[in-house]
Amino acid sequence: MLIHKYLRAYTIGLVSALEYRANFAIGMLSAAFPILIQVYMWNAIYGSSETMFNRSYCQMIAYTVLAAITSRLIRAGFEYEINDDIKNGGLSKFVIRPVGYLPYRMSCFLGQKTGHLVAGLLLLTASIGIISIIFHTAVVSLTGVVLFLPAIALAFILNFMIFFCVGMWAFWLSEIGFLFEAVRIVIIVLSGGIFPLDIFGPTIQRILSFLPFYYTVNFPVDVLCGVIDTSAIPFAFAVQAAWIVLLTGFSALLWKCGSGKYLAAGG
Amino acid sequence: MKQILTAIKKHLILWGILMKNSLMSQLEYRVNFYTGMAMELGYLLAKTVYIIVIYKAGIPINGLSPDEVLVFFGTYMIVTASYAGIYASNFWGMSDQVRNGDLDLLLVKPVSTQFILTLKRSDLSCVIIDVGTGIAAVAIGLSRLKLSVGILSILGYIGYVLAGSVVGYALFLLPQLLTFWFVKTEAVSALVDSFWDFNNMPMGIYNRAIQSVGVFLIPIFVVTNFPALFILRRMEPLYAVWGILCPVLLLTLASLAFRFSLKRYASASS
Repeated sequence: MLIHKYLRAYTIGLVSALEYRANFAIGMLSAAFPILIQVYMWNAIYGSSETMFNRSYCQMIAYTVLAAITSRLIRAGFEYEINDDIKNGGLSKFVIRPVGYLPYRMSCFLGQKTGHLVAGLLLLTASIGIISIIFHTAVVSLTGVVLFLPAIALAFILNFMIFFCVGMWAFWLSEIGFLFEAVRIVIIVLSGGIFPLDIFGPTIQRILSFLPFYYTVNFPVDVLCGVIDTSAIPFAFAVQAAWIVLLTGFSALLWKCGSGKYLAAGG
Repeated sequence: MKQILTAIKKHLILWGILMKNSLMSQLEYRVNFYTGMAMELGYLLAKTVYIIVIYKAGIPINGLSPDEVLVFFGTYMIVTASYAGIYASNFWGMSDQVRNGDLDLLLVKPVSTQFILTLKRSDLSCVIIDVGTGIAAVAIGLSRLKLSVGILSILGYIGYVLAGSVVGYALFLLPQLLTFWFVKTEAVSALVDSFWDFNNMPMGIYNRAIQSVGVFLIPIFVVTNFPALFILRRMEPLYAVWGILCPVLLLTLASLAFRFSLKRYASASS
């Protein structure tokens, strides 16, 4: 019975994502322009050098393509729905119904992302194949693929928790739409969604590796491409899991404090 | 001729009033104004990482030094102010106005429908951030290059910046006109929006074929590359002439396309 109600929320998410599948397809297509710009930029930079920022030209191109796809794959977007629920009284139904808001949102999100994940993983596979053919070398190893699956699964949950916490700022702030966008862009940069964090140098990279964002894009892509040292992977998985636990606790705290401020306007 | 000048003057005065109204309404909701600035700062960070990469690499990019690339970046930011702050938000709202029939109200006003539909709103929080950063980047780039810039160079640069803004307006208006055919074009807006970033880097990084297409066929590089090329004294004579002709031709084309598209409008409301 407990599972059944969240399964229903999952189905709602799945159906809604299938309804708006063209949006996802165009979202993926819009990733093509930044990829093209970056590929030409790296082409110009690597013209006189073999290795740059600890990566070969082939590794950098692979990172550019795979990070762009991965960041769209895990992309949240439900923070606007949380804001809407808080502002328009949509949360009221969760007060009287035996449904937890976090598992409900998680189930919807999983449903919305199921189709995207399948399409995105196929796109990742195709991209890896094309890059390998162009550069006459395998850009990923079997170990990388095997380790990538748990890494991307944890990255997916971690990103959900980050944006769930961000969404709950709506309890305190009335005009938050622009702020969500600002946070989203900053997180894309800090997660390595545009460039690998190596470009910031070892000190800043080390600082950023303590934050959760690195583990949502940069880490899974580096695992897939085999750039990261294998001995460091178990620790990175532990950090990923620790951040998920921490953010789950933080979200419960935000919910407890925020729901006290909830006015149940509208709805 | 006198009638045309009077009409231009009338629209410029009206545009000033509309901008003032936009600023007043933004300042009424101050948190929105500041969060708008925060969003633009976020975008600025995402664009700045490209410059970080160029400086960290520390090598010329197809003959352009990192300081010269900084001038291109600064110019891109200045022209982006006109895109993000002036016309993009109006373009994104076009689809709604056509779908809901709100365009009816604009059609009966004694001003150009294209003008009022595409320039009604402006977001000055974006303009402040983008122009401020852009001017600072261009100034730093030029001073590091030790390039002496006279008054004529500055005037020419401003001229090409204005011409680039006009090209950007016309070029990005054309795909938005699809809204008169397909009504719901949010996805097209998102796709077209990402096309703007082609100016993030100097056009010199692309091969000759892409450069030719981007200059003459879909003149995206005219938007921000030309002012930077001019002030860095790297502009070819053909580009100098095209940079003046292109905005006139493209604005005429956009205006004709707008009038043609408007005939498709069949008021959706009561």
